[in-house]
Amino acid sequence: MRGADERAHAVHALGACRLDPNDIRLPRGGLLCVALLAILLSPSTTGAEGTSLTSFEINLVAAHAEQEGWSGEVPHSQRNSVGFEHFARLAGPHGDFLTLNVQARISYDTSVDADDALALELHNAFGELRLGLGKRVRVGHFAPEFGLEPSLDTHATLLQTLAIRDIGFKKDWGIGYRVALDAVDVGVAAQLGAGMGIQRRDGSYLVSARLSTPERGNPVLGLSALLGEVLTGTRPSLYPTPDYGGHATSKRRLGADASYVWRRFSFAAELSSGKNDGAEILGGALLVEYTPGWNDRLAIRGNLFGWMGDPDDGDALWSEVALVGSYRVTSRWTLRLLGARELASGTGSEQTRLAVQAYYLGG
Amino acid sequence: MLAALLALSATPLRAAVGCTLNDPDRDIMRIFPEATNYSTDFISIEERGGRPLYLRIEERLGDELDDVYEAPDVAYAYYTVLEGDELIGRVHGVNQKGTFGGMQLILATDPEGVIVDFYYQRLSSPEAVRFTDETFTGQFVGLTLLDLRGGESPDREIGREVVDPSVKSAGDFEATVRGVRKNLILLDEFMLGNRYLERARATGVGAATDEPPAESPLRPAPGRTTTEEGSND
Repeated sequence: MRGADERAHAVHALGACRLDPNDIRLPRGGLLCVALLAILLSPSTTGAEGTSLTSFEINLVAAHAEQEGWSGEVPHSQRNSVGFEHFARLAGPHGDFLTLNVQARISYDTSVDADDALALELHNAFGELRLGLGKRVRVGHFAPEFGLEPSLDTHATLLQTLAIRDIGFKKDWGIGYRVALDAVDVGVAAQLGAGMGIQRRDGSYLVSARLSTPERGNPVLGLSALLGEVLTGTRPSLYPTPDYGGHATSKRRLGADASYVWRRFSFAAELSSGKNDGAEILGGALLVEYTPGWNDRLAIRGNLFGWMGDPDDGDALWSEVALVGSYRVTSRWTLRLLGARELASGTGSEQTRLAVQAYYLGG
Repeated sequence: MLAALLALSATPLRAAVGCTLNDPDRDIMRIFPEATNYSTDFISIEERGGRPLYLRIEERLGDELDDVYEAPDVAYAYYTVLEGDELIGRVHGVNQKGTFGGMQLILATDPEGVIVDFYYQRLSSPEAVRFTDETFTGQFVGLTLLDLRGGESPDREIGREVVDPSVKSAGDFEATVRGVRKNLILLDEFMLGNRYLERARATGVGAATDEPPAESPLRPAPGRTTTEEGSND
């Protein structure tokens, strides 16, 4: 099996594009061209009307956990990286018709040898074609239509939604469609089921659908469904190619989510229930944010997570409570402090985690 | 508050923009039922005029701008609403600090800069129900920048129809007026070619000029932003 994998990687390295639907990959050079293409298709270079913004990003993280010691990352959240975000809207005489968004990072993993520490990550990397007011098609790398992740911005935050623990990743490659009906928004997506790596192996796929009340409302309520054969890698990256290890995991899910803003508080919650390879899975998350009225640069955020059915935890309950203080130092720099405590874990030894993040986003 | 984790947004753009619509398609379809599409522009003070423009906006506003949330590099989103290829209006929002937290003020204007709709996309006030009621927000419909008191129009009164709806949240009312004025000033600077600035000069109202002010202009009454009457947290 390992020999076959090595041969496959060699073919990949030569830039060959295999057309086997069960093992679809793109050349590495082509992957970088996808990202660059989005930048080149900006109004300034195409001559089309429209607007574009490019922001550069620096993400500095230092964390300490009782069992794992010091590291440069918060698991399933942030690690040291530099990157950029490019956003562009192309418009004609009848308005916007295409939106492009690319979020790319070079990250550094302090837990491995220096030779293997760097990785290229693509987060948002999609084009969105407008088919008229309230209708759009999205192609590329984007969040599956499930739970809170499609409607919350967690790209740079220490606190995350259930997506990584639930699906295995926050974004996947594929095609999606959204439509705003009279009383509800509907989103559907068909994706590869491999997360950041552009691969389809072991029949992997992911289809998802979410029905929600309009985003401009308060509260916003959502119902989701998900079905797929999902590959999960050890580290999310575009390059080097993720190591997906064993077989794809069969996942079935039903989810519900809600968000509500009340005065200085923002609340969001999600529940997910289903099966992984036939084993029952149940999880939930509650997110709360509070902004003191006396200082609008400060925000205090809290998470309460609960998950049951993960084999890594012996199918036992895993639960964690986390608190983050976020302070907007300047218009470009934000400082965050995290304290998290596992309330229950399958290992029987709950640990405390502390982290500090200095985040820059600007021109 | 103004860059909240839990901010909902249907658009993928992140922190570098001050205030975007959570659901631009629905908002525009509601305000302009005849609209067929819209185009989006992101404009910052820094790119349009830098420090001189920043100071002129402060003078027109009659107040200093916050150096984080109203910084020169903050980009403002302008949604130009189209019916076919004809401009029928604009939708644009700003962040504004209120007594009990931040507010996001969304204006829809016609091609001449006259308000056709006003609503709060976010409001942290114990009297939010009173402020968001159409009885209050509807009072801004039909008004222009020159109808609002402050800055280049220091002697103008808000039209008689616009009355503070709150019982004990005068600070949020003043913040709303400031935010609406700021929104219209930015519109005038970025999209209307300063037609309202020119009209103000032509009528001799205010002292707005292109030169940096010698001293900071007067600020709105600071004493009305305290919580001496208690907050409801």
